[in-house]
Amino acid sequence: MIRFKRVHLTYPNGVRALENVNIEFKKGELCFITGPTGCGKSSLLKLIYLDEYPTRGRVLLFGKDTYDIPAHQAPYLRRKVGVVFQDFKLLPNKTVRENVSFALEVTGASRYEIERRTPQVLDQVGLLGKIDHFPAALSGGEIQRVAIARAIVNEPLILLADEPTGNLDPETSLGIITVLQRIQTRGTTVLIASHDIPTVERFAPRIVAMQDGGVVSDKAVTRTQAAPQPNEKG
Amino acid sequence: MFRNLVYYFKQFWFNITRNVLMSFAAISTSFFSQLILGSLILVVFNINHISAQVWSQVEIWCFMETSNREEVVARAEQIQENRMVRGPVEIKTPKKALEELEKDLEIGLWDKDEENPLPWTLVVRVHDPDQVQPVVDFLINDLGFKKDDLRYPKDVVRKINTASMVIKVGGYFLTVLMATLTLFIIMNTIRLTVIARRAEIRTMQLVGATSWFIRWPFLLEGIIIGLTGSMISALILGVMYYFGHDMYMRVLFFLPHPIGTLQMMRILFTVAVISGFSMGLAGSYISVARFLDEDA
Repeated sequence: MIRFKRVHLTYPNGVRALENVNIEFKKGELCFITGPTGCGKSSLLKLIYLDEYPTRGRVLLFGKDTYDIPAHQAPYLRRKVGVVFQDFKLLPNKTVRENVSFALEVTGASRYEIERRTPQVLDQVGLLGKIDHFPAALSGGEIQRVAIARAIVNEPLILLADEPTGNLDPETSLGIITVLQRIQTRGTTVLIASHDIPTVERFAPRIVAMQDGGVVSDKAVTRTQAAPQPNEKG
Repeated sequence: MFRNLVYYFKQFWFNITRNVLMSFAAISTSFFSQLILGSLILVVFNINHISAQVWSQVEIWCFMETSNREEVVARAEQIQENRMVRGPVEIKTPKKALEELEKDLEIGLWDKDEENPLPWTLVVRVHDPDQVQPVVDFLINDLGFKKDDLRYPKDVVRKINTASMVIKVGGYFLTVLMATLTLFIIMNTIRLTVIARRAEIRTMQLVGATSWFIRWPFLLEGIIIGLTGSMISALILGVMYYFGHDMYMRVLFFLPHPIGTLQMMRILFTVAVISGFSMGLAGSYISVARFLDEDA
């Protein structure tokens, strides 16, 4: 589904974000990408949601080289890739409902579809009760859930989450990861960039470790005991 | 498309009301520049209209020395062969010339029993006022007319031509200047709105909005600003022209007539719609395109 072939990424200011990255992510996989700040985790995700293009090498998305995707088709491809941004990118002057339905509106979805899908997806992340709240009235964990709801409302094939548990307490982090796990079980490929080591070690079936723009390890974790299934909603 | 239209209009209204002062400033600037633009059009069109009337009345009168009808007709046919001559050459008998003169002066000039002193006259018209002198040269050099036997407006035509040319060129120059100014103001207004909504647009792009989906509300805003300013200016100019025209026709009725009020209104509103729409559209398109390119 996603394949990086000898990918290099250097930003216009000369910063080398990725160097010779070779990696593949399969359909329905849950993978944690871990590493210290500045190791290239976010840049890796940006290449997937077409915010950046490799300076060398190829990124294959749904079998297509991202370089070969014409600019006018990029938006349609982005609709298949949900993103939970590190800084959430929620609009402060819109309510929870509007922030989520916004992602449907831009795709030209019908009013009926918007009104059906928005509460449904907010229910999935446990925020139906706060549908008419503004982001300023929500806690960190709730804001994160709104961002997840917006990312999945278009039923994407890939979900990318950039530091979804950053600055959250362990209990709230657990709730967020549970939501993401649940999305993965429906067949969505979920890639989570995180440096929250305890969470990663506890839940990740596959961990890709990065350092200085390169992949230093890629291992599947075999668990003898199933990870606990938290029922927390907060 | 229709359901998107509702979204576009909602967003357009949000943009306008979010920055009322700036929208008002943009509409005012559009209004003033369109007012100047409309005034120039009003002047240029009327100059053209009046010039056309004066030009159509430009005639070369050729007084004949002979009183032989056949000779006069033969001369008329010779003149007719010149391609610069417009329509048939009019043959004016001494009797007809006298009647016209008496009618113009509203007095009886001549005792009917006495011999009419006026000569046979050929009235020659040309296609273009610039052709008056070449036709005069043709009459003198090729057909042997004496200079004193020809009557035609010498400097008048040249002066009208020069004056209308100066006004037209000046008018076109000012029109382009005003149009550019309006374009820049609208561009700037839309750019401010775009900057104010930068974060939202960025998010829209990242969640899969197409460039056209992002662009439409801003284009609508530009078009409405351009059209509102131009329509108000056209309305005001139209009302002013109505009264001005009325006064002119009462006081200066003997001069060439300006364009009628209804026809002028049609011209003003057509120009207002075209220029307001196109400048609003172009201004907003450029400012949004720049932003979308920067962030693409």
